[in-house]
Amino acid sequence: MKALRIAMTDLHTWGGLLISWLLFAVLWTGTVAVFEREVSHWMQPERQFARPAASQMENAEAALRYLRQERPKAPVWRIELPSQRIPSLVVSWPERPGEWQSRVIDARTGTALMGRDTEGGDHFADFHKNLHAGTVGIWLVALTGLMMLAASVSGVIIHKKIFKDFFTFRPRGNSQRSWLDGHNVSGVLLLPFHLMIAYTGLACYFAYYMPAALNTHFDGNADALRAQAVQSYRLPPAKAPAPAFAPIEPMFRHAERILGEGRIQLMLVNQPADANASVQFFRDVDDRVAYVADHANFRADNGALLGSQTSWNGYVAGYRALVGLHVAPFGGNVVRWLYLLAGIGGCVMVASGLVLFTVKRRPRYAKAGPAMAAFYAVAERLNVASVAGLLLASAAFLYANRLLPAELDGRATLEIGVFFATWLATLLHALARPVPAAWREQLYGAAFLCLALPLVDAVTAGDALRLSLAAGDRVPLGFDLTVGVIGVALATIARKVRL
Amino acid sequence: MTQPVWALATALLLCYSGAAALALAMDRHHEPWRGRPARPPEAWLLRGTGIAGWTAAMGVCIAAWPATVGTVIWFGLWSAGAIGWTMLYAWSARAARQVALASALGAVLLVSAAPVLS
Repeated sequence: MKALRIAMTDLHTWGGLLISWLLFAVLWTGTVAVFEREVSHWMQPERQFARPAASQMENAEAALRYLRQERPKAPVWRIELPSQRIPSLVVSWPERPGEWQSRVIDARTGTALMGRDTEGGDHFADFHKNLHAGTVGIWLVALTGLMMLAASVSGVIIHKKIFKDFFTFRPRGNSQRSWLDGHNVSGVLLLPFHLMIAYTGLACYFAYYMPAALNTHFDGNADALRAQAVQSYRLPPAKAPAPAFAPIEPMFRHAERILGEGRIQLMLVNQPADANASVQFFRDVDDRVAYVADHANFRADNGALLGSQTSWNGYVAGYRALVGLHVAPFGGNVVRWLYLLAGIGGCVMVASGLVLFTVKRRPRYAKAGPAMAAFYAVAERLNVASVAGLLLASAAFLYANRLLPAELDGRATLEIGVFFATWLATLLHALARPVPAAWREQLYGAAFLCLALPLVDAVTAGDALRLSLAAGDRVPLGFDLTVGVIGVALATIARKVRL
Repeated sequence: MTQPVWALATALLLCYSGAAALALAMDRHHEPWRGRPARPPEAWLLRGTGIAGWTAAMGVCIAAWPATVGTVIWFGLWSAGAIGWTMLYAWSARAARQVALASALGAVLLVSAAPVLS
């Protein structure tokens, strides 16, 4: 047992340290991505100038009218109906393969507004999934997930007093013990979440790491696998121009009878320019962990039901439950807030582990050889930039959204550029400054940016904010306040915590 | 809307007071409170109360939401209750114990009010 513990301690300490610089970023962006759609909503204040109608039928009609007029030849139309979560009517279509465009529709006037060009919350979600680095990024993120699992299990094995210390946090007194307590509490009391989120995160991309089955049975084509699980009931193109669409209302009502009253959140119109166009309605997934959306598909020209899928192969539902557990599209705001808090807990665990590594070794720095001394110096600074620097860069990303001109060409890319440039600047700052000062300055910097964000929002998008409140859309104000509270928390950490 | 709010409040109070009872069954947290270690029957009573609180919270979550969703919510509230207790206790043990007593009473009140709500 003792040998095992020693081996596990090395794995936990060194494996944990080396992966945590990246793992913190993956966890933090994943935490923000829980509110991906809210972040996107906030980052397009223009949406507030277009109001949906009270009835979903009118919304669907307004969206179809717009798309028929403006993009009759698009391969697919996507209509996101307003919901309690995001009260905007958003339509989108692929302008070119893989390049989607979107508009917000004002259902009262039938006009469409273009929100400012931004990746919005997708920036955090994409970074979380692949670090904006495609397949290589997916593999790197997988490595962080794998190491998070290994560190969680080895952490339990080396935690000799796991039950005795279960509810113990001693912030006063010995600094190293405080850090260890904090690391233990955020690790142990959230252990179910940590294990679940790391495991299910890996599960989301199983087909990437182990493609053998996909290659053997589906010639490596993931869509072919998907087609066996999801019956889309789409028709092959008829290669003939589309006749007039049947009225949407009977289809909508029929779909509601199949999917449940008030449950329809998303519509797709497949090949709208073709005689075999179809209108597909999707049910929300608010009340189930398995991330599968029941759907019904209708012929666009006569409104006849092509087919519907409301029951799922047990294996598919089981796999999609793993994905659902990770992405949390269910349970509404209750689950999203719990995931946000648990995600922050995960960030605290990783950050406190990083700090603990250095706090524990500082007394030994003087006796370390020159190579180790250099390594420790770099580790201390990487800690600052990977934790405080990332938070600062995330806030800077939101500022770029408000301060770059709304009409600027390529601003979506520029916003992300600001994010990475700020992050790089924090690394240079951390290298240039003494470590405690670097921590303090970057944490205060991030706190200041967060605290001032509501003000900047009010100045740069005050009209939108007012309109949102008048319309009962609480997302923009809620976002401002949440960021403000994070600012208070960061300022408190900067002031009170010995780093 | 009332039901999720009711369930959330009830389950959170149960998770917090459950964590408090289990912590107070331990000598480390019992001694500063009563000046002596817990006697075995006291410790078992506290442990039983704690487990009952956590179990009841799970029942509330599964009843208020679809079972799968409720289970996930319970795990979240379990962590929130335990971390809430640990943090508050670190700041002021006395305050944490008083809040635990109030939470337990509040949870009992809310549970007994459940039939009125539904």
